[in-house]
Amino acid sequence: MAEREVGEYQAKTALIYNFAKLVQWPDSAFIADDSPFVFAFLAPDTLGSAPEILRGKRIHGRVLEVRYYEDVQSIREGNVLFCSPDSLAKVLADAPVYRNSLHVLTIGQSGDFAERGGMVDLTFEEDQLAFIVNLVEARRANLEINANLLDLAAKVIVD
Amino acid sequence: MVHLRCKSILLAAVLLFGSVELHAQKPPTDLTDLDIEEILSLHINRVDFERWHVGYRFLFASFDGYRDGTKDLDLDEVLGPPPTGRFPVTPTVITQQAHMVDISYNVSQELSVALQLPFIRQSSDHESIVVKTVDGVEYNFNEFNITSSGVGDISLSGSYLHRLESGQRVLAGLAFNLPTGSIGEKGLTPRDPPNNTLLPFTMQIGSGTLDLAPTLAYSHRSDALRWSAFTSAVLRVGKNSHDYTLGNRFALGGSVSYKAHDWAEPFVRVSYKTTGSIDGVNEDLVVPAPPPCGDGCPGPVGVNAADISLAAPQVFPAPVTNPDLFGGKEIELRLGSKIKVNKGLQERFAVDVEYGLPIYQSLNGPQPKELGRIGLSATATF
Repeated sequence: MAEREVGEYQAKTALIYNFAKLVQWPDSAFIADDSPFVFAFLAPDTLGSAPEILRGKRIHGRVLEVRYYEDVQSIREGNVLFCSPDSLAKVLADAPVYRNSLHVLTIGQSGDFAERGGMVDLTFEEDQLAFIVNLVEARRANLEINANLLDLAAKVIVD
Repeated sequence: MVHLRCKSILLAAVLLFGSVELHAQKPPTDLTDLDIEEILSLHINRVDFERWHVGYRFLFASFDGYRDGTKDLDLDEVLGPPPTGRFPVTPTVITQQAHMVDISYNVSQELSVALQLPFIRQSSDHESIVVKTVDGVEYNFNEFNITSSGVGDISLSGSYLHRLESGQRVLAGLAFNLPTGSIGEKGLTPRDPPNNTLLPFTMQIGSGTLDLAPTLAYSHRSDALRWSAFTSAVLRVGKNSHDYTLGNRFALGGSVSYKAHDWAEPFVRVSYKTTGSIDGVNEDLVVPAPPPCGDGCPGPVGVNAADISLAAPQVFPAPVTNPDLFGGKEIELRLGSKIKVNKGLQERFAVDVEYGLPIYQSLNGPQPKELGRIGLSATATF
């Protein structure tokens, strides 16, 4: 019997959840010890309603919350930001929360997200998920990526 | 009537699948319970995937020299006056070019349909012992060239991809090759100068028949290595309007590719092919036997149209006009590489280059011998 196929959005949601578990944020990324861990999804690049399954889970001892934003100016918080490359450029230029804090893991799914300043790009090899890591951008944001995660990446950009 | 010689092919297909492990694996409902490696191994039902593939392919093949069975023949063993078993006209160097546009559409991640539009161009150098005088004009065919070109047999096809576990997959396809290529190409040959006459089988653009082309392939990828096995056939249906049918073709082979880099994947492929001879005689290709040559044979033999007796025996003037001298068996080695020109890992643009070399040929001869072929293709996916 063939392997059962799973939905793309469900699989990507699970993947970015696992990414966050293998990345270390500095303490300065959170206001308080009991601050939530926030996944922010910026339209038009979202994963439908699949991220709802993340609500209430815990990452690094913090309760996971999910936020959906329609535009850059409405972004108020986020430790993980899922967006398109064009949105990322606007975020870095315009979003108030990101002007003062760069401790955000940026994830996209465009195929060129990592080459355009993002940190993790979700892509496909035929019908299986793969990902590219831009280690330069991650280090610039003071995020420490676990070596095991880098070993699983299809490509790691180091310069 | 379709001639099917499939028993050996079916047996091979069964043997190919005998070693495939088949058992179910069911992911949990909450995928966040899986680790990254498990998620990366899942087959994804993609929301948005590339629907269209558009490609251009160029193939070039060359033939030089003759072979009968596995024995190479010198030209003077082929060229000569009948009825010595030799032919008064003999192609020497044959080149074939095919320019193909491929358009395919992914109906789903499993099912695809495709259209192939070929344009064929062929050239054949000849040597002959024929000099003809018609209406006081001498036509010396010691060395001459004929060419033909045109749209070939358009192909409509469908394929279905079935995924098994652990990187294994099976692809089944069926193509219908429509008889759109010309089988009436004409040119100036020694047969009836100065009139153009029907060119031999090798110079025709199409088959003239509806052909069925089934394919079956199995592949397995493990990390950077992918290996595959395949079988295919071209089955001719009925006879064409010139009352002949090209030989059926069967192929069986395997390949190994290695993802040396995220943009390059070289491969090696070996295939065994068997092709039947042509069924039926095209009466437009035979000629009356000329009168016995006089002193000075072998050499140019003058044949005046007025001297030919219609009651004389018919002969095939060139080996490529004799339907029995087609087909045979071949083992081909093909080397090449896929080169991805894309952003990220997704294949948006790719270029394939390959070189094919026959390492074994047993031909129904005397028959022109293939030296090799090269292929170049470029595809865009969107």
